Amino acid sequence: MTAMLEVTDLVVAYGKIQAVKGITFSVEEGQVVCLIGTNGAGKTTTLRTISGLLRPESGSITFEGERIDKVPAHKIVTLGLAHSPEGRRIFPRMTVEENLRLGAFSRTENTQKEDLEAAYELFPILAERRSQPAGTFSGGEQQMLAMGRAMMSRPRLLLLDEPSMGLSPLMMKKIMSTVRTLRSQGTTILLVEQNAQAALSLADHGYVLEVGKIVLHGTGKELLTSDEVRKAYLGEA
Amino acid sequence: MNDIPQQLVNGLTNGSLYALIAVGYTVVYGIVQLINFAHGEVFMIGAFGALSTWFLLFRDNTSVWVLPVMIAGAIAASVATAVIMERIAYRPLRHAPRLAPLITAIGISVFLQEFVRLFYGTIPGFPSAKSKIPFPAIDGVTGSPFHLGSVVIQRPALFTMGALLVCGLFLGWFINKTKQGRAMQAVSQDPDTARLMGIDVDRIIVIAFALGAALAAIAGVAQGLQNNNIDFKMGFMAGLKAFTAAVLGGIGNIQGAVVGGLTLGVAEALATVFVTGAWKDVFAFGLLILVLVFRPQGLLGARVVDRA
Ligand SMILES: Nc1ncnc2c1ncn2[C@@H]1O[C@H](COP(=O)(O)OP(=O)(O)OP(=O)(O)O)[C@@H](O)[C@H]1O
Ligand SMILES: [Mg+2]
Repeated sequence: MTAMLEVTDLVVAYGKIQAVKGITFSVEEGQVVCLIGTNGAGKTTTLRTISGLLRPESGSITFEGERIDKVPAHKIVTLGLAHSPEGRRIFPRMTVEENLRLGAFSRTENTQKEDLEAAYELFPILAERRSQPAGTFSGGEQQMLAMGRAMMSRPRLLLLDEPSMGLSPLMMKKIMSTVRTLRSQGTTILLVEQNAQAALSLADHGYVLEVGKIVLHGTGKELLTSDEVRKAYLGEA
Repeated sequence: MNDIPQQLVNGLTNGSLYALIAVGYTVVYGIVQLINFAHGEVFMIGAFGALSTWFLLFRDNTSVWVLPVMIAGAIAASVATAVIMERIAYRPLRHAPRLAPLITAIGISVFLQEFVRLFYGTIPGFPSAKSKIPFPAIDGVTGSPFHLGSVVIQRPALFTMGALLVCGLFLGWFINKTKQGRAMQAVSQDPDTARLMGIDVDRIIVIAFALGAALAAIAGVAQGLQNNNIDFKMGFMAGLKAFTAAVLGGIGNIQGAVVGGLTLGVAEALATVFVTGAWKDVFAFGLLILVLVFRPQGLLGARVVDRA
């Protein structure tokens, strides 16, 4: 049995500087796997390489048994892998609904109506604001929109880059509970977070990234109770 | 002073021509942040495409139904030129320093002008393009002008203004209502995120070049009808004026290109009234410099280009 996503010996560089220095990890179908690490550890670089925005220097990425490390980004999403990027990156001069419809750009079957309904059910506030330009939204609303938009492509694997960044504790709770909901509805999730506590308490498995290398991994519980993680990421002495 | 209404009509006519060409600068800039200085030559090739179609298929036939076929020929020639240009000259330079595509554009410009000048006449049955070539008069579309009081409205002027109206409506529909149009907006707002949505950015870039080329081709036909002749150099000044119009309206902003084109046309025409016709180019480029210094984002702002 191979995992849904297999990343093997992945090396990614910006010019001559390696940001990811040979990492290997996998995501099993149905799980929430989280990648934690400090600023500049290489988390975003890893996700951008998986979704095809960056090309690896070496190593391989396999999704559902197919090599995707040479597939262009716009084709990867059609395979069932969506990426909600760091900083939300919603289209600011488009309305909520236009953003969501763009999320369905890759769909060949016309299920847009149902999928819109599903997104609005996940985040009712988006329904209220469907015809407002998204650029005026708060961080939390933009994050919901970014996640809703990613779900419009009906992904089997969702990459989420720091969904809780800059959010209030209440909004963060909402986002994390949505991650649980999505998993229970059958979406596998690879979650990147700086908020290790929140991420590890819902993750089935976690990896700790430090300057481009995986230094530790285990189940969410194991990592939460590990001394290294508690010291480095949970701010405990 | 009493020729102001007449000059307004002239200004709107020239302005419509500038606007049709300016859209090509602005659409491409909005998507790839590239000023395609060879776009004036795409306009010139459009005029030659229309003329060639006429020579090949109609020769001596000036019925009005010939015109749509000539326009189709113009669009085919311009779109092919622009798409090939993008593929072999600009795409390999996508990640090069900005100066590289700019210099390339100037090279393409000179190449296309010289190519037409030297090659056109060697095609059997085609006249030499080393000097001006007469453009066919089309029944109903050229000929005796209309009079509105003391104002004279040339028939080709109506064609030009009508073409801008039709193209403007088409563009509005395309950008806002079609899937590819929405993808285009997405790419201009955030290309990486557009790719994550499944949008093939290369393809959108080709569409942008093709769209701009099609409008420039129609402008090429309009200019041929207005002047009764075309020549290999016609793209130079028209291209510069249209570029000025695009900057005036806010480069990257499609509505801005239309507003900028019409504004420039009218400003030039009024300069003819208040100063002298000989100074109208000085006036136009003076306006460009003023805009660049005092309002570089243009009249309507470079809305389509800025990022959140
Ligand atoms: N476009 C780029 N060009 C050059 N270097 C980059 C670029 N993007 C990131 N880097 C570098 O690569 C390294 C990894 O960055 P990355 O964004 O992947 O980290 P991260 O773990 O996502 O950090 P954060 O928690 O701050 O989001 C950093 O040293 C960063 O400075
Ligand atoms: Mg990051």
